[in-house]
Amino acid sequence: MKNLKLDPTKIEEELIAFEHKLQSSYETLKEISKIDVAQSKGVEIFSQDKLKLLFFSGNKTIAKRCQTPLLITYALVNRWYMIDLEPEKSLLKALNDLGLDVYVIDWGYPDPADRFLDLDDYINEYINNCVDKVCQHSEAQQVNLLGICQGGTLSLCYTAIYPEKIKNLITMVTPVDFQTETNLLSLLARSVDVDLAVSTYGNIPGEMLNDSYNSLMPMRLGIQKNLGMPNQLNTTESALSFLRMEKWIYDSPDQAGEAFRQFIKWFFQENRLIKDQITIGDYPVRLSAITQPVLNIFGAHDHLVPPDASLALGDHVGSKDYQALEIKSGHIGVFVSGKSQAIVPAKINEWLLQRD
Amino acid sequence: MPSDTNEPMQALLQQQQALFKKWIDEQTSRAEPAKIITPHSSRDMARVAAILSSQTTDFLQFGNSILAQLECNPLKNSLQEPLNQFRDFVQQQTGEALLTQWQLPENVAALFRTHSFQDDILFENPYTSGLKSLLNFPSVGATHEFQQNTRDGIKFLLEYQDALSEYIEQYSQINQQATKALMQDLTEGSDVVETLGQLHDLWVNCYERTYAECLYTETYQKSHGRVSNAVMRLRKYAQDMRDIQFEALGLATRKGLDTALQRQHTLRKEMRKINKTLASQDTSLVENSFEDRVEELSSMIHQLSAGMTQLQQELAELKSQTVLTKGVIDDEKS
Repeated sequence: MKNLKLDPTKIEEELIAFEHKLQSSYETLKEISKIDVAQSKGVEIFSQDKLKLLFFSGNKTIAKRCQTPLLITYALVNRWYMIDLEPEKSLLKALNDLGLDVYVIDWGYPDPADRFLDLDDYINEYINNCVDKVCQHSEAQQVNLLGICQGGTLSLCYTAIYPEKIKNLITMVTPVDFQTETNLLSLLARSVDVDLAVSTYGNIPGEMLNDSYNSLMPMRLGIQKNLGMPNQLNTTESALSFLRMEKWIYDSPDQAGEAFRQFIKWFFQENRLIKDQITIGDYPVRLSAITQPVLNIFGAHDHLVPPDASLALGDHVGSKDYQALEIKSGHIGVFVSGKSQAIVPAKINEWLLQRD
Repeated sequence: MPSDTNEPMQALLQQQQALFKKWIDEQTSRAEPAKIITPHSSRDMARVAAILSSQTTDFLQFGNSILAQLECNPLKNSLQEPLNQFRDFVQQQTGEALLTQWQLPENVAALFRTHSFQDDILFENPYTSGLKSLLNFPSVGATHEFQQNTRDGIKFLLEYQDALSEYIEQYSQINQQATKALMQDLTEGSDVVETLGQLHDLWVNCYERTYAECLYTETYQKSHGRVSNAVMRLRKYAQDMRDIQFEALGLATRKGLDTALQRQHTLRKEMRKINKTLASQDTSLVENSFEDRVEELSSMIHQLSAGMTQLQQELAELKSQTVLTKGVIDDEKS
């Protein structure tokens, strides 16, 4: 072990420094009274069951503004405010600043009464009602739809069923081919008895899903992150930034059992989306029916939705105006990293303006 | 370096533990939180502090122990012992995470509280041997249903133990291979490790690399699925047994509630469809009556227009007759 040269003096210094950082973390934490997220001011324009439709007005002073409103559909897992964690890391704020009127679906927290909600309810009822309400509120004939992660998959299904309502479609870190070789989550999901899971838990606990995500990198996301915490809690600003992200990670709603069963079986285990074998309610989902312009944004280092899982979209949509945009970051970095903040909102706005 | 480094380090450690304990107590005891502190943020902070406290305490304790070891052995001729300590330390932490993920339903877990999951006695002890032997008896008599349920429970429990044992074996292999990779990096790698932080980072890299390789194997995926399913089956079994008891006592059961919710959901869907059909019929009714009215009005306009034309013709005739009459009268006057 020629490279192991543990030095007692250095270790002592390291431990003392670590201890000081801990003390400082403690002092910093005492200063923070509230972990504030979702600071953009929105208005609730519609609600149904647990769902709320929020409106965030764009900057009206911008000379060239996109006229078609943008509706954002987040995943059912975790909460929508990933796109508005803090003002400096807010995709939502950046889009508003560029003049875009943005509507966001907040799915809320399903409880046992929602146990039998299925994908038909989510797509043909909830999303469809939201699209109609956005058109009504904005007096537009169509909307631009932006789906994130699982919300992107739901947006693809919606657009394939109701193509006449969607002007342009944007997908972000969205799985399309669920059985690519690098999709670890899918490899693990295939051996799980999802019927048993739903009959055991009813709604699937959000905490359980979090454990699954963390189990893909247990050391890095567990022990290493926790030990690095004193570095993050050094100043109030960095501590708040860290705590906002932690709050988001652990704010995971339970999943309506039936919708979860359908999603895992049809998409993860049977990979039906790209095989044209999905029917939601009475409507068949055919990706070839999506002929409007499509912008597909993915993370080059995404370990939850690997690039090839997203890029498969290009081979299946009917659109002749399809673009893929690679961001050099991971699944969450696409929304919060400094690099992506500089690229993503401007690209979305520019792309939409060209097709408005 | 002073010979009694151990003492101030212990003091620091105790001080840090006391601080965090005090702070966690403060946060969690805020039953009536101050105006600006929401119960949620209070809990979030307490959680963060709890993680900090436990994990960093472990790290400091481990660091302290390594330091003592190195001080006792100033020639540094044996680093194998601290390295073994380090390996045990991280493996213990992985083990704890593992247990949290695959914990048994509370009532079943109580049976095993006295045993460690690394302990062989968990997997083959007098209790489980007794259970296995019970499976050899057929369920007969008036209580055969109860017996069958008990047999099912035993089967599920044994399957869980087998599945967990297989899964732990996978984890042990990952640990072994990660340790091997660590040793290899320490021997053949290019980076020199002088601090615990560097050692820790190197370990994490080696571990994640090995773990990712293992995750892609079919054996691991099957083992992961098996233990997931086994835990769920036991949990479901416990719920079903609870339902039987509840039903006997005349209480509402989970099964009954599910049936009610499913029927309500089906009805809601049907109502939605009916509403949509009605709405489209309303629209067509409105459209139909509107079309009828337009047709009626058109026909009226047409009739009126025809009437107007007729009137105009009659008026013109009257005018010409008036002119003729007037001419005749004038002639007569002259």
